[in-house]
Amino acid sequence: MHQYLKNKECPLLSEDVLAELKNNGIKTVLAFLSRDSEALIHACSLTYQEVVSVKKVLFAKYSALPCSATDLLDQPSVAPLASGCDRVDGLLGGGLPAGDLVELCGPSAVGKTQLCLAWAAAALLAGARVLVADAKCEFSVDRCRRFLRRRGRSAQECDRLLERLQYAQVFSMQELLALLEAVRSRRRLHAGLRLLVVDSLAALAAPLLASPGFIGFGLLTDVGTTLKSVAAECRLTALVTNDLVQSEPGGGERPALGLAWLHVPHHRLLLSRETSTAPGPLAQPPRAGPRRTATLAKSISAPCGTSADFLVTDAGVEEAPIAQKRSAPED
Amino acid sequence: MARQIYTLQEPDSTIQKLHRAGLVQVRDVLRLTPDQLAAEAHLSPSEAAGLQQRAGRRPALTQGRPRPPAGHVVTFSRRLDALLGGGLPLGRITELVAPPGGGKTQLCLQACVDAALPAELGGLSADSLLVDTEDSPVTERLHSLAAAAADHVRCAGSAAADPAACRAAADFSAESALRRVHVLRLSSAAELLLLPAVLTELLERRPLRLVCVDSVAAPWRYGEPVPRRAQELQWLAAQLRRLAARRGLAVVLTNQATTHLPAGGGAACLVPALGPGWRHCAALRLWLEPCGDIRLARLTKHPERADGTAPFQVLAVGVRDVCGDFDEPAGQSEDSEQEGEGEGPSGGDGDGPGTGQEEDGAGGAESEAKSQGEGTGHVEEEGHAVGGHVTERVSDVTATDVTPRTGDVSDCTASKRQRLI
Repeated sequence: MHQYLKNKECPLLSEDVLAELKNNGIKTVLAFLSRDSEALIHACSLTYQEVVSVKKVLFAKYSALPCSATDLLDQPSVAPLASGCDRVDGLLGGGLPAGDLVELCGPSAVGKTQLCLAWAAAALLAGARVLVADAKCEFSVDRCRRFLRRRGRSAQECDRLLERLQYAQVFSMQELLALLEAVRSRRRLHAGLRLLVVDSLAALAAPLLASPGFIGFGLLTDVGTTLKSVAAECRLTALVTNDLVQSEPGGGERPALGLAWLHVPHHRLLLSRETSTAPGPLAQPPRAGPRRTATLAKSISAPCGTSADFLVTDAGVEEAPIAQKRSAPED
Repeated sequence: MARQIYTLQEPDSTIQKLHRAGLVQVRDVLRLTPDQLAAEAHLSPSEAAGLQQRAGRRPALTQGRPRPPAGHVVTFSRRLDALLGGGLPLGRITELVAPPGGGKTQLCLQACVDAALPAELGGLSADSLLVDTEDSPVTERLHSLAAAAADHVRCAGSAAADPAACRAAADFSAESALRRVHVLRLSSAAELLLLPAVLTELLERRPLRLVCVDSVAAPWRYGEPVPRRAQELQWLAAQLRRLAARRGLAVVLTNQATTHLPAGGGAACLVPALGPGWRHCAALRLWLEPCGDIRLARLTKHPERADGTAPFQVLAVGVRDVCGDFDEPAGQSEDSEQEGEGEGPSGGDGDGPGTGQEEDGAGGAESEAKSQGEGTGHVEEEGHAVGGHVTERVSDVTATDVTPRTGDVSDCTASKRQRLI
């Protein structure tokens, strides 16, 4: 709507008419549509009928038109993206839903990047493309390849699948916005894209959030809106990782990036990790590490408050065995 | 929603000029020719061209494998290197957390010397920068580490089959190693925030591959209000991450350990200092714990490897492996299996003797006498123990033992004495 008026919008907008409008301070589509038709006649040499028809053309092109709910329902739906761990996928109703923004939130070293890797591997195996914006340099393509190998793919197949993974290192919010703009506008970047990973948004935004002038929060709002619109337009899932911070000294923990960000993602998974490092009474698979828990804290389509335990192993993210009652209290 | 002009990293005056010209979105700026842009926004043609070039930039997308596997800086302890997947990784930030006397400074010094080892023998043939914020006496310790490394390289090179390796070993000496270690002493947070600029400048002149900051916590503890500190630390971490990734640097940051008392009661536990936000900044975290005569390294965060532990010891010659089998002790009790492994100056951090107590130099007279007594009393044991376990791996830089000559042991005692003054 902020685009400049151009001749190609409507043949009635000739160069002379555009120059006259510009002299009167009307440069953009929004400015033209907000003015009264009477005022526009005085600003340029168009007749009343011509002004009304130009306005109709511009409205049809730039404004959103309502569609009926049955049309929305008839749109082909995209299957949710499953990671391979049924219980975690079950929290979101089968996997990552297309068109939504999902946030993974948790303390350091809890498994956020590992879950992103598992979902990326699943998307590649399903024949789709994945785009990763890595802010922390912790998204390991080698580990993704190991997950693919463990699912039974040969080395050549893994290399072929990994060609569909596009990886970019971003070190500022502005770079992320430039990347998202490119993804949205270039067909060869978003065709076949099923998953867009930003790891981690907190690392990008944290240096800016305490700056004067709230520019950090402005950029964060822009990023949130852009991610959601890219997800909706391109029918993909935008997956974002975030940190946990203390809400006040001595208080509980909440997701980082401010109170306004809490409302932005469509779904939020809170991850936690069992704290005791002593071996427990469960027989865990080797190199599994501690048990981790994912809890659905916010969702627009699934019941909140449900949680699932998982383990991070060499093969990816796997279900954790059902916890037995511990006889001795933990120290 | 298209990208807005205010997101461009341009001076405020330029943004205002663009807004006054009626431009709101970045793609409007890119659609105009440079001359049109200059005319509309009252910029000079060169400014307009530069603005368009910067606005059109986007991060490079690579497919499949982003880059060849990065190298590592070895630590001279094979178990520790195995835990880390080869050593301290290039291109990532590693955080070393330890209570006092844990061995953070010692590991940093060893890594600085190891970066200078010849590439043909497992090192990087590269420079390293040690940023010291705690005024630790590092110079003499660096000398002894470099001398021990030179001894080892000489042995390894003389038995190497590859002529290039022999030549590289012949060219390597303690002096050449020390010329590759740069020491920067900083005292305030403001100076530490200039570190990215210092690194960029140093990278122009020298083949720098390792940066150790010992410690990143010292300038910031109890100094400033917490929100400002958090933002400064995040900014510094973001800059270091960018430099590490783009220039292939291994960045090692040491942090202190502090006690966390849970709000709802419960046992106190040790956590890294600098707050919860800092914990996300490093890609790897290694906890170093003094454990009797040796140190235990516990890996708690790694992008690719599982958690684990590895024992190592700090000797006069530097960081080395622990000989024989090692069982992780269940509690705080000393393990009797460690007898005869050899004692070392476990007061590695320069804070004082390695009994975990913090003593400053003024009160060091008693501790000095005590460790002198320790040193003298155990000289024969050390010589005997190490002499019985000489294992020189000529093709493997990370040897488990280096036989010190008798002269070296007394030098070690002498240098220990001087260090405590």
